[in-house]
Amino acid sequence: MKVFRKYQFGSKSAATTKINALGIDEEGNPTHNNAIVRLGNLVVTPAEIDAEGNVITEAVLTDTYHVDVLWDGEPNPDWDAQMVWPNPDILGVHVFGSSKAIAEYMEKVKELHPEYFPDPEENVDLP
Amino acid sequence: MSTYDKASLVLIPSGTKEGIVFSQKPTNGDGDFTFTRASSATRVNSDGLIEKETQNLLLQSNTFDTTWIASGTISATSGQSGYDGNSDAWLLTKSTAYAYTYQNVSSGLRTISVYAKAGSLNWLYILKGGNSGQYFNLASGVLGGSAGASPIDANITSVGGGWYRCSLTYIDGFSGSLRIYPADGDGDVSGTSGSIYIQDAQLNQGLVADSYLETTTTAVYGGITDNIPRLDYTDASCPSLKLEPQRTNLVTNSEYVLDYGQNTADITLSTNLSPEGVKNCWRVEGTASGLRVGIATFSAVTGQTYTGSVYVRKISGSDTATITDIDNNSQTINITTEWQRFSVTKTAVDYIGRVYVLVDNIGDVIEVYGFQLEESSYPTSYIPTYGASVTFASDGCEKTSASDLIGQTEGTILCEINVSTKVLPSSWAFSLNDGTTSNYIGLRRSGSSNFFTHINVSGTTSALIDTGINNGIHKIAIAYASNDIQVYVDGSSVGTDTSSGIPSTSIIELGDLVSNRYLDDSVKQFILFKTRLSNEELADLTTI
Repeated sequence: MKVFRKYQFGSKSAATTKINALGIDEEGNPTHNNAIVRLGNLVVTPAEIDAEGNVITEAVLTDTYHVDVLWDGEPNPDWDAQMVWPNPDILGVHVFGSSKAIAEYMEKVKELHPEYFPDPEENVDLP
Repeated sequence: MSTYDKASLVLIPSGTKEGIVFSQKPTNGDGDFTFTRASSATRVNSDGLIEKETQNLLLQSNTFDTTWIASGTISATSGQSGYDGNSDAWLLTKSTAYAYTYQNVSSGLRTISVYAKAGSLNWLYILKGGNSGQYFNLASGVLGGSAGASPIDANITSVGGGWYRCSLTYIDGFSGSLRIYPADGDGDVSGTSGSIYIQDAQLNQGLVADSYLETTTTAVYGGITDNIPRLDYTDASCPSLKLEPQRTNLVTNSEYVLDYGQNTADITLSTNLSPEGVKNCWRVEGTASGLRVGIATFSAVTGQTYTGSVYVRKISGSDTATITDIDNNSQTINITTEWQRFSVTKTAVDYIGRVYVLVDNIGDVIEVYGFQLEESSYPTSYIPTYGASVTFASDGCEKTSASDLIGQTEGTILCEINVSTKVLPSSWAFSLNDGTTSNYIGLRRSGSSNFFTHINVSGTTSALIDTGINNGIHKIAIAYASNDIQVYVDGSSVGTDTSSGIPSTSIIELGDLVSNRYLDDSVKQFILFKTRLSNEELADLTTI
């Protein structure tokens, strides 16, 4: 079973320490079968870019450092303190391309945060 | 007796199922390889088209009295004559104004489709709550009006017998209800009674309605989904087994070009076929307002190497266009009326990532499909995205407990690979190992070097022979016995070693050594012999 979870760290180095603790060999290759994606500092406000593609106003990024993991089995409990459940509509910037893992993740989000999934009557009706 | 009759294992990738690549020999299944990939993926199929995962995200896709929720008074009656000749259709009948049946669905770029036929009412209305709605005329087979946010696309296609497949494509940043209404007219669901027939509803990712997949209590996935081996036909009539490492497409909507904030050209959904063979590519025309289609909304990491890629073809005008790298440096590309995938690689000096394509002149028309930006020095297989960045997991293909298939004191390995020049820290076409990195026989490269035959015994390199290849399709044979190593490539000897020991091994891995040393290319065949074949036989086996 593969389990998709999202994590938030205070810094890149804090994330790296946690990732390396999962195991690396002498060449720096992971010795585990978990898939890890460093999202880094997320974009809060996109950069403003001119017609030539040049940056006019720099983007605003989060101070926090974000990592997504596709665990090979149950999530490592040592990571629980950094686990986050962002609103998938707003902060779901990345997913693993595993339909089963996404489905399990979404069910867990619904269980923990039903407010993320309002009834249709709360939507704007447009018939 | 042919040389192949002597083989203990023959794997010419042609037969697969979820989690397995079948070997031709042994014939009892003892030589079949276990295949793993914890995600979907894409491949080029035998028709030369990109093939993806398909899915139906709706539950109870043709059981409209279960899971589907009624708003107002509406009922679904089974046992109706359907478009497929079976009695699997449903009569959807409303008894109050504005009544509909719905399911809650997640956000993203989606296409809802349902087969429908006129009943006492002639209209169907499909609405993604808070987003796009579309009316369909089931009497005349034409589209009616839309409501809310303009649909990206909508279609009504006759399938005979008065039935139509009706589809609505929308993009929504929010989850919400997906509704099916019996409608009274174009823009009218206010009637208090009436019915239509419906059958086989589907919600899938992307811009087009995929072939229908039936669901019950869970979503259903098809195509190249988790743990499905990829027999890839890129530039070849015979398949090879694609084995790639983990990769992420940083472009959050790889196929919905109108999502991009840096477009200046005139861009519309094309009616032509994309490299997938469906109508999900975009027509881009240079105008006085601008020449560009592209995206620049994500953060890159300074000092990291990125590769942007996109499929482009010419419709009219110039034979060249421009693609820009992550730091906005331009590179001219030669375009034809055939689809080609172009890529550009650059180590970032800025933290804004870009993938732009520009036509040369006002009036030039091109088509584009499949934008991708990945942290890599070369492009990997296309990774479709529909509202979020997506990571495809690595491919793994191995046979454990294989001691009996491997010659332990002498033997011969034949491997045919299809590889391209690239820089990887450590990349293995195959390895025979014991589960450690101490004992193995394998074929590997490091950095941008050639492939080497590498034999390790008790943690020490025992033989290292340069094959002289780093690009293209090649057959490599490694014959081994104590103090007698011989390597042939494409019919010729490329090296020997007369002092190497032979490690005991029990695991066969294709595209890796133990873990995370991925080939990132393809294997066309892999054959083991438990004897050291003669040099003449090695020459015959490796002659292309």
